[in-house]
Amino acid sequence: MQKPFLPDKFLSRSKELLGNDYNAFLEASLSKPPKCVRVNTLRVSVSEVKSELSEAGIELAEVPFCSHAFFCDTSKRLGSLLWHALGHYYLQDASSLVPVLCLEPRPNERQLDLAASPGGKATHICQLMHDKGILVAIDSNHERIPALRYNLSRLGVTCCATGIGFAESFDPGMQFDKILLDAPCSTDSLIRQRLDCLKGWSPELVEQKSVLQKKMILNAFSHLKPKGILVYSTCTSAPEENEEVVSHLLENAPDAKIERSEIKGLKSRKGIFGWRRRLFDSRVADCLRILPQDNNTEGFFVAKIRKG
Amino acid sequence: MEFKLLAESESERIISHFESRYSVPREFFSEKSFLRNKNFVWLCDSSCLELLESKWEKNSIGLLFLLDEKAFKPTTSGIRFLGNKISANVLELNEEEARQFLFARKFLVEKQRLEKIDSTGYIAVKFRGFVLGSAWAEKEKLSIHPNVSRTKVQDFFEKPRTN
Repeated sequence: MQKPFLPDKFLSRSKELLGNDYNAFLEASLSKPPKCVRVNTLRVSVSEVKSELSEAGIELAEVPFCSHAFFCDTSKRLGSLLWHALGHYYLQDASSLVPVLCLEPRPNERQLDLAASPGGKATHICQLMHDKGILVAIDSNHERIPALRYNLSRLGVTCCATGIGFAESFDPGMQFDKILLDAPCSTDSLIRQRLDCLKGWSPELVEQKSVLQKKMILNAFSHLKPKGILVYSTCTSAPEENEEVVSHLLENAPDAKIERSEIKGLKSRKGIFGWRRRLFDSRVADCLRILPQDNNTEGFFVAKIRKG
Repeated sequence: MEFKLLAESESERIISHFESRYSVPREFFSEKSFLRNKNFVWLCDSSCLELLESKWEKNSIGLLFLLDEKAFKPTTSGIRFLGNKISANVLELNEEEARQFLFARKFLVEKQRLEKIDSTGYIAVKFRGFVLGSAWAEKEKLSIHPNVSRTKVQDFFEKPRTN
């Protein structure tokens, strides 16, 4: 098996950040995660997909924290089966189910996804909305919009509008019940799937992303209705891009309150208060940190923030 | 792209067409609305209509539904969206036909199988109970012309299945 590219600076930083969990983190990071199939219940039932994949010789094991998602250990190309083309399921890492489960989308709500392409989370949101209501899904990169539109079409979604927009400055001209900001990040938690994901990684990149993410989270929060919920997530373990960004929001928005998400079956850790002489708001302890070894997924960070 | 709500009479014409040709219950469209963008017709949840007033530029609202409004030429995503609500002018394909269809190749069918089709025009095609897309069916020539982009589903057809 090919090994991922792991810069020395990243390894020493991870050791410092994770302490006793470092070895387990490294071991998990060097293994391939199982594939995850999310059943598109807008189109078919869980039992139909189980039967379709079983017929193709693919056995599914329930993802403990999501009733409509399944792990499958297979070398088969699930993306080129007919049932995939017909929108019966979506392939994603199981950890990326978590931000949407924290958001708890409901039918007839107004929702905003500020970094939506290729649409894994956007289509999941629409599924949990039963395709009723509004999801505004934007992405800053026009080259990524076709993938988003393709997936929305493939899964049969009618409640979503797409467009190009920058999360740090997008002005939709309306307020939302729920907003997902799955922020562009240094992506160091994707090592298990993309062996070269750390090729462009550097401590400077982490700082640059952090600066932008702080602008994004403030803009996102400004478009929430009172009592509305913002979920901020990243696929990096860097505290500068996680707790520091959430802490920045808490400092600048007195009506922002963090809520601890309890997702049955999900193993997670608390947010950390400080990192390398920087102290964060103590309320960031209620954020979720997920390491690769916790649920046999990629790593993830998720914060659920309520307005007022 | 500018999206405009179709006039009530235009929406009614589309709903009536799908009701008469495919027996789709009109109630299926009760919480949906039709929008026009250039010559295309989009189908969206009616809640999305409030987005028409917002100023940011939209690439899409809902699902691209008709490529040609006058000919009622459905998109693949549009006809799949209707799915099992379709009960008329629908042809169930065998595995070889489904392969031809998904490769966007024309194929012929036996006369008796086209007898259930009202007239030459667009029909829905199904495989194992699921709508694959639409096709232009010519009754006299017994020919089916797929209205679909070539789809990469080789693994499904080329690898042996367990049963």
